[in-house]
Amino acid sequence: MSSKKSNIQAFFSALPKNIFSGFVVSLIALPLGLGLAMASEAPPISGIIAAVVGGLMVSILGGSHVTISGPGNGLVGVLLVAITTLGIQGAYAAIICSGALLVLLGFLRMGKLADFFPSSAIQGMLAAIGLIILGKQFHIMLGNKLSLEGSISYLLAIPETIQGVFYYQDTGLTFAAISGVLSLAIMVFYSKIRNQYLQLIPAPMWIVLLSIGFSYYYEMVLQQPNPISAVYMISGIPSANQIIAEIPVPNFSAIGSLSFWTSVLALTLIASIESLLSIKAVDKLDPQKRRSNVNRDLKALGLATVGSGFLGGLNVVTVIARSSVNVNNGGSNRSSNFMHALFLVVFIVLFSTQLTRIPLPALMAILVYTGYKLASPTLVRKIFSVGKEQLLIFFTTLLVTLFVDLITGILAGLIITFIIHVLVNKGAAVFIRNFLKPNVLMFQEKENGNYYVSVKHFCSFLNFYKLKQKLEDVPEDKDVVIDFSMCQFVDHTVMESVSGYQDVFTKRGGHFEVIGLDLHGTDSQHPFALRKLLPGLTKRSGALTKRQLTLQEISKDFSLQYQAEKSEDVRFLDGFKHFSTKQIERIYNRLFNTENTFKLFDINYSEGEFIAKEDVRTTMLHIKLNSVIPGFTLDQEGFLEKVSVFAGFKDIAIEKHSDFSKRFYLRGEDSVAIQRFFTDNLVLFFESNPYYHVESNGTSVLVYSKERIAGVKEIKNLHDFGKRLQTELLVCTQNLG
Amino acid sequence: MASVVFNPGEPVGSILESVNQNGVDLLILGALQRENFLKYYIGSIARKITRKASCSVMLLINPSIERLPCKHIVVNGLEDQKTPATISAAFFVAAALSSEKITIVEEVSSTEIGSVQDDKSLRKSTLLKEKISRREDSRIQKILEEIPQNHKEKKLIATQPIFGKRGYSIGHYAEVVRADLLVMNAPKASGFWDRLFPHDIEHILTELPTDILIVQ
Repeated sequence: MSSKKSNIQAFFSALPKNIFSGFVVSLIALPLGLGLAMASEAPPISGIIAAVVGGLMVSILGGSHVTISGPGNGLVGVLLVAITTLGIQGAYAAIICSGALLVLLGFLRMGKLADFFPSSAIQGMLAAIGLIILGKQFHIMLGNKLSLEGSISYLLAIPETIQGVFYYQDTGLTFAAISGVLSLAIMVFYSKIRNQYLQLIPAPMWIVLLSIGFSYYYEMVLQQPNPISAVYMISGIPSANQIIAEIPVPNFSAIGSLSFWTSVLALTLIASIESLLSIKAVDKLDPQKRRSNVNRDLKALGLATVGSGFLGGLNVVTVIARSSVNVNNGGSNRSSNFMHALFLVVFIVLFSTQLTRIPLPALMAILVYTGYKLASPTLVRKIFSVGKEQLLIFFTTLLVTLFVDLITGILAGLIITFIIHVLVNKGAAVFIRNFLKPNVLMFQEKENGNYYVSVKHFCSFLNFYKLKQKLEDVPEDKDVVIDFSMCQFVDHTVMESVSGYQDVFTKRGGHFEVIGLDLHGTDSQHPFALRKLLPGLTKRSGALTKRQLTLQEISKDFSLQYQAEKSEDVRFLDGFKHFSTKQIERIYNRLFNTENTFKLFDINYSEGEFIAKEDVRTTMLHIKLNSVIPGFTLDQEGFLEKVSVFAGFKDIAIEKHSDFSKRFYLRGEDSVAIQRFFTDNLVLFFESNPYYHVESNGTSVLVYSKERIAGVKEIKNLHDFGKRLQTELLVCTQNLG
Repeated sequence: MASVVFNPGEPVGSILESVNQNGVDLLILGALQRENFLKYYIGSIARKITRKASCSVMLLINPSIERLPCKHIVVNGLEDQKTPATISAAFFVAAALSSEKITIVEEVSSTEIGSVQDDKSLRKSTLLKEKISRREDSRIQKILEEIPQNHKEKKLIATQPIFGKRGYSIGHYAEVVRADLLVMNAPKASGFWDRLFPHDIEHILTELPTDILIVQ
């Protein structure tokens, strides 16, 4: 009873933060919803309907915690085909049927479905979808509406369109193209500029705001018509009343035809794969480290899709970019998904007429960027680094998807992967003989409670679910040893998933070790460069840069050691709030003392996923303490923090130091201990020194100033500050003790 | 008293016949660790006999003229009426071969725990697993009390609960811990379909992890 009560209390105390993040998410969801729907050639509002229905239903019925649901980009290609062959009302019927199938998948506990596809094939399929989106919308972005047969011809026509831009007779078209290019520039450069005021509003919303502002500028100030051609403005956004009055009737007349069921199947397949992959990725970002109930989520998504289809909306899936924005803005439970839907309703009710002021090319620029991200060259390079055969799988899937269709594409990916595996093993015997047999043993060792997992025969996408089933049964804060020494063959898909488990276990305080692959490495007949995939083993090589040489020099002045190479050990950063929603990629250029208690280092980490992904490189200082201090975060009081106060964070006030409380923003769980810990001397120290962000995880402190790599001088300053902070903290802990 | 019996005829049938005629208690057979694909489904001599024999059977996969010490014996602790007899047979063998260690493996079918979906069901299943482990352990301890003291002397006795497929996990476990002998309950009669959809002992017969003694 009391736990229930405290749950409700926790829910309400977290509500303001979730309302805030739901609001930020709705800012992205609005332009994306419109754009994705238009890219599928459905009425623009259908994307918003999907987001609203999805947000409301999945937040109530779903089994995940911080995911956001709405129209997904993976479905654009399939919906396009469905709408052209079946008509929009027939497509609604197909959407409803695919929703019902999703519910069925949920009841059949097919949450493991996504594990049956080789990861390179899935990458290839997603890249193909990206190219389909990019190819089609690129022309609209540059003010050149085309209608061609097949997605390939759109891609081939791109150079022509680019040339054509310079010969437009109609200035309306030129303005349309300019708005498209500018919007694309906003999408590309937004993540490069780290300014807290700019970042308050997500890039897609900037595009919306700027283009609406532009339109009003012409209307109000210049008193001229909008120079962008009227053909290239969003049309057909109904008002709220109209939406309710004109709910389309799905047309089930094609239900007997083959094309109807291929569409339904493709919709279901892509919707489930996209959702399952997103849920998996978002679970890794959840700061509270909860596990999602994927089957329950599938049921909720299916029901929401049925509802959305009946109301004239598209398929509802879990979306990665919006979910990651949700996590980064403090979303902590499903109420943020609910709020994002509510805000969308508010936008439509209040501003539906303003939305017609957005030029189409601007909106399509968002999609072009999305498409590019799905099929970016970095992705291809990454797959190539895993192995040439992965590239073959990737391109087979990609090309078959582009030339034939999605289902054939993914099937081709499956088949080519299997053929490659057979070739690698010089025969299919190991697969045929052992395909149906159990091959995983897991037991908890009596002596130390560690879980030991042994895998026999082979482990590939064909039977990974067996291994996964066992691994799912282990609480993530335990120690796991997984032994592949009895396994003849381990494929890339498995290695990637295993590496994912490694991440999750490390983040949640457990340990996940892979053993028994050394033999595979020395075996020349095993061409999969497997260990490349396990994080932390690639070496940086080449000459040192000037900055590195200087760092090497000053390391001697400070009597520290210097190491330019990437370090494998990032575990000392666990427990810092700053990294709870971020993925650490590498630590390098380390300056450290012999006891390793004082470290200066450059660090690369990323925030968010997919189009909302931002890579951050910065320099930090880590000081290990000998004793325990309360966990806290100390920031300069600024505008953002003022906003966050409304969103439910609490600033801890220090008695008799109102000036300190005014200038600094102090957070932490145990406010009494923190108040006792911040002695007059410590407060004076922070007040009289340059500002740094200081965070403590209880046993060590992390100091940094900006979200970029520090220059040599700044490193010297940081070092100086750190040294003095170290002595100051020593005094404080002695007082405390 | 040793005697040699010579019987002409088809091997499986005639061996089984002489087992019945002479009242054999233990049949020792040599077997390949793994059979080829076709043979597995049609059935090899050693395995056919194992499936049909009315007495205890010992399958040796690496017979050796020089006696290799049998250090570690793994025995099943399934909840079954045959289990106490099997365990006591294992201890008898262990005493005879002066083995150092006996591990009793309690296999618990994963269906008993239910599937893990999220944090809540994970907590539930972890607790349930602990409870079942304790229950299984106390059951085995009761069986162990019945074993004569001189069989238990100077031996390391361990128990290991495993949650997984019955009949499969114990074989894999014996292989992992490099056991020298695996002692199992005799199977119920099995036919062709059991080889297509293997269960219990069939998993082990598919791929013999080590020398194996099947106690009738």
